[in-house]
Amino acid sequence: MVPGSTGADGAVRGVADAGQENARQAVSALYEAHAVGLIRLAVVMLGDRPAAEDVVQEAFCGLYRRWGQLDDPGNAQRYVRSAVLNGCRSALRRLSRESRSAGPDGSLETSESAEALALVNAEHRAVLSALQRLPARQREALVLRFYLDLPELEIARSMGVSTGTVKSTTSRALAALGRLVQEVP
Amino acid sequence: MNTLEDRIRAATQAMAGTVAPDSPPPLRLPADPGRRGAPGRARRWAHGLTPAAAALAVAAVVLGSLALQRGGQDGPPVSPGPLPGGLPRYYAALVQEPSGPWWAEVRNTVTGRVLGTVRPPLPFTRFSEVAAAPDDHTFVLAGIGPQGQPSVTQLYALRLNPATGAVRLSRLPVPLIPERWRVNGIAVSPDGTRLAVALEPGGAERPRLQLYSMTSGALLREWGVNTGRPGGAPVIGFMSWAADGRTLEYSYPVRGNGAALLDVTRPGTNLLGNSTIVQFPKWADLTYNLTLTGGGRLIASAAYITRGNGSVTGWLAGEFSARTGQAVHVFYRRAFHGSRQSFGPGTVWWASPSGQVLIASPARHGLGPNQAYTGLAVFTGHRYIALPWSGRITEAAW
Repeated sequence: MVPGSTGADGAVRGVADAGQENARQAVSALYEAHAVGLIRLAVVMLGDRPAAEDVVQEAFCGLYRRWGQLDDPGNAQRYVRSAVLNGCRSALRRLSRESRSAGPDGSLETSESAEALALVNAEHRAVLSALQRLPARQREALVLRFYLDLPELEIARSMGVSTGTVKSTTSRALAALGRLVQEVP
Repeated sequence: MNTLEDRIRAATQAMAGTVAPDSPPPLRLPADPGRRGAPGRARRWAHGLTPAAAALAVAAVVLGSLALQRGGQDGPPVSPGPLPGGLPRYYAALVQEPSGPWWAEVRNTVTGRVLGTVRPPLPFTRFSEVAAAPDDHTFVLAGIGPQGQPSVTQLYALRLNPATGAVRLSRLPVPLIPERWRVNGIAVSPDGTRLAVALEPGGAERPRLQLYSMTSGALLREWGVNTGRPGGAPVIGFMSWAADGRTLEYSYPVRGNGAALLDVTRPGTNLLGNSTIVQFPKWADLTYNLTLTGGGRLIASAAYITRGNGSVTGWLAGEFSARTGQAVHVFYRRAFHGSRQSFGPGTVWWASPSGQVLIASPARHGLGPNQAYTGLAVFTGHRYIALPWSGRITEAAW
């Protein structure tokens, strides 16, 4: 028996500790399996590697904190992807506030995103620069559809809108991107 | 020349490829799961996050966490009070259980009670679209199948007998939509006699909008998009009829932040040539489930309020002029504070003819799967009145 505690308290604490260790192992295993894919998703969304890594770290920490509240641990992958996308939205809002003084067009480009963009060829750079100039919701719709190839229902659930809105947002984003790509030198 | 979609795929894959498979940093979980933040993680102020901004961000995260701990009840402030009159009594909803079957339900608007359920008749496996007829108890469903690609589409009528509570699904006489076309939106005319169908091409064709007779299934009119690259043109999405049955609003973003109004009585088959484009203000990022109100003079919608750089400062539900695109009435408005954005415009499902009453779902953002909507509400006179709702619903029509 643990000194200063009742047997029941010790048992409860033991169960809690075991649960915490199980959560740690499960979340670590998920990170091992999905971290690269999620950092890639966040990099595509943010165009910024350090910010992408921060978002993914925080998403997994959030998953760890809420592991016991998950209805179905089988949903953990979807949960953490949603958390990454949510983190990307917050990061984009933060970056856009910071970029107000950065450029006349209000583009979100940071030194890190410029560095990341430099790693891809000119054609891809033009598309990615245009993608970064879209409103976050439009960018997200295009990334989920064309990068992750998610079906509309999944996109709708991730974005919290109806599938009809997914279609129209995607359509609108494509039109805007088409114009922006032509403008990018 | 690759389509824009192909270019996006290639560019995003290339960007993703800059992250090497063996390069993720180690995961640093907190020793205490109740404590926020990743211990020992090197905070990077270098990419522009000042300590003050970081403090704000942390505060926002804590607020977000508190919202979660309240069991997902965070949402717009609810205003008590009686429901306005004139609400439609019933709606049809498309439902899917995770990894499970699809079905359609007819529900009572005010109580949320499920009055009837139908599944797609074989070989059709799911319903992809739903629209409501003006009689308040007839709906149109698009059933697609068989499982896997390519799929064809069959249109059905779903009728509720308000006296007995029975629901019945029957095929509409509209011809089967072939596999190379995908139904991307349907809308029943205000007199219930015609059905507008938006078609997205699967191949190198251009989008089409068709008008069918609901009773005979005859194709009455067809419009095509004659501009843009084949296979790369934006799709036609959500549609809404004006009360006069003459104007059909459809989302086809030829000029960015706008909507298109088609006069279905004008001769000609050129969709854009027969349409008027409404341009919305740059600050309004409309959700695009737009509903024509005021006899077609106004467009009801929810909209994010944006700055020039795309950052979002809040949202509103209201009406915009169908002529100038300017905001005319604001029924509900909410500002986002800091980086917190726990909910925002999801979908305006229905608007009263006067536009003074909206049925809409605000959307919850990013708090996990299966939380697409915070709920359902009536917006009227700057009030938000919550209605029963199910998070399993993916589409609905009033």
